[in-house]
Amino acid sequence: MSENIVTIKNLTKSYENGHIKALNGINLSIRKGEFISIIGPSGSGKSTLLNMLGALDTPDNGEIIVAGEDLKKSKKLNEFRAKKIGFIFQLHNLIPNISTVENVELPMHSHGIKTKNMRKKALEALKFMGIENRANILPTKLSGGERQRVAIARALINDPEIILADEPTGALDSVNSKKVMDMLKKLHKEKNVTLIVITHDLEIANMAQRTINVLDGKILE
Amino acid sequence: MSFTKLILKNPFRKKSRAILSITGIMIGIMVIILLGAITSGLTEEMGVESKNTEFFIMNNTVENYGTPANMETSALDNLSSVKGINQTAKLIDGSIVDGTNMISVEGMDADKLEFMGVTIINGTKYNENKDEVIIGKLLADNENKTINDKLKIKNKEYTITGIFETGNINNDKAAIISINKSRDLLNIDDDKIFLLQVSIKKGEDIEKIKSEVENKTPEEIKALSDASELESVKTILTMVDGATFAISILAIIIGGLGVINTMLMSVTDRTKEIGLLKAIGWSKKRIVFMIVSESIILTTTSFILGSIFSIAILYALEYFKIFDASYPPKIFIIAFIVAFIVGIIGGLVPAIRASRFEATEALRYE
Repeated sequence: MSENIVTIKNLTKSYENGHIKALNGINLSIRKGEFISIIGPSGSGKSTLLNMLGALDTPDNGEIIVAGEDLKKSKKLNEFRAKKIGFIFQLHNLIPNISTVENVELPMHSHGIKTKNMRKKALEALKFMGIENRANILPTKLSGGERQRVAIARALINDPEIILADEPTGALDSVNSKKVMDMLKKLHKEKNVTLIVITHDLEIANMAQRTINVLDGKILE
Repeated sequence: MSFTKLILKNPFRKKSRAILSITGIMIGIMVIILLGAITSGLTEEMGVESKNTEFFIMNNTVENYGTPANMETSALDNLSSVKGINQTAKLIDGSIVDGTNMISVEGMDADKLEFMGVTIINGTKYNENKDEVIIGKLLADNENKTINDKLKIKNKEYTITGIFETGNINNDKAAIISINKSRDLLNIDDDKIFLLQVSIKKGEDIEKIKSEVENKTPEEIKALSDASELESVKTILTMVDGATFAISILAIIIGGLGVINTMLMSVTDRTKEIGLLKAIGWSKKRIVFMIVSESIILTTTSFILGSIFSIAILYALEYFKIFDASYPPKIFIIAFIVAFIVGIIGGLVPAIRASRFEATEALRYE
């Protein structure tokens, strides 16, 4: 049995002076290399949970340890995000005025990698995603599916331990959704990365090894 | 892609906005350079620099005026102990009446002609051991003389070796010969001169040196400069300088507000993008550095274009003989410093704002 990469105990988070309880005592363990899907209705707290896992938000109470980092106490959250986490968003969030390959290189800027090596690694990531021939064009010239594959390449560029995907197929048609999910599964299988996907789509949720159902800031058993 | 390349690309995403912003700052930069060049041109034209570094020593008694030379050189023996003096030149200044004609004769050492502001426009200097003379352009025109012609002064013929200009109408009507020859012509004792022109070393205090000169020479010897002319020129230039400074400050404020506005709009447009950069691990410091650098790119571009246009305008002014400008590096350095500071100030406010974005909020921004 592999070790836990995520350990969450009694995690709470509220907004607007405690009037909105986004997370209400979450307990969760995720093993290294696991493929998890998180489902739940809008406003259930699943995106807040994902933001907590990616150190984009801080908890009010409880304990959250991700990839060996205590996120409640850590002072190096930028470094943690840069090295340990890869984000994929529903909308690809690619920068429009720089090329596809330059977008993939962005996370490497905080690592002090030489420009030449950055380019080599970014092209390899695009090749892994099957879109190396689109490397030098602007994101605005790509299809929705291609853009999301570029976003996945960007997420995996720093060899993160965990990939957090917030509805990665939410803005795609069924054909492109399948392609993107195939890529994520390939990524999970070949790179043994821990994959946590938020989705409304039960078909996609069922692709995961385990599905977590969030409702009213709690995980349903 | 290097971080530098990203910074260079970002400011020009919205081209029309960037052009407007650059134009605004460029006008401010042009104002600074053009006014600076005009002030500097005026300074040179009016000889303020030389007026401020030169004075003359003479016997300041009523008797001395109207005589070609009434200052004994022995009175200046202690001058060598005055520190800060760069160069000196003796002058004898007299007139010779020959019938109905009167000719001004000045005696100078041939190697001090340039220092005395004498520019030979045709021919050469005189040989101090020969009966040679150089004459002012106006005298040459009046007498219809040119080089190698003879000029008769007091029944003696002198060979004209050069024609000179000084920019002063009276001086350009004169003839200049060696000190010794002028003493012979004007019947002056060997130890007397009219005045001694003095220039001081760069950075020295002219008033202090003048005072020291007067302390080390007899009472009737005075160190003088054309104070009234210098003061009026200085007053005009101080006013122009003041106007330049006020307009520069205005340009900085307007330019700075323009940059702040442009960068704030840019940061607002890129809220989501900044959220993404935070999500992928970019630090606040890196984001602030990126945005401030983008702002500096805008203002530096303005500086480069403003400098080019300013030089073109100044060339045009010179070409059409409207104004003789001067381009001391100082004004370009000042303009660049202004552009750089406006860039930092204009970029800092939006950059700090961007660095405070919560990544989760920024990523949801529509």
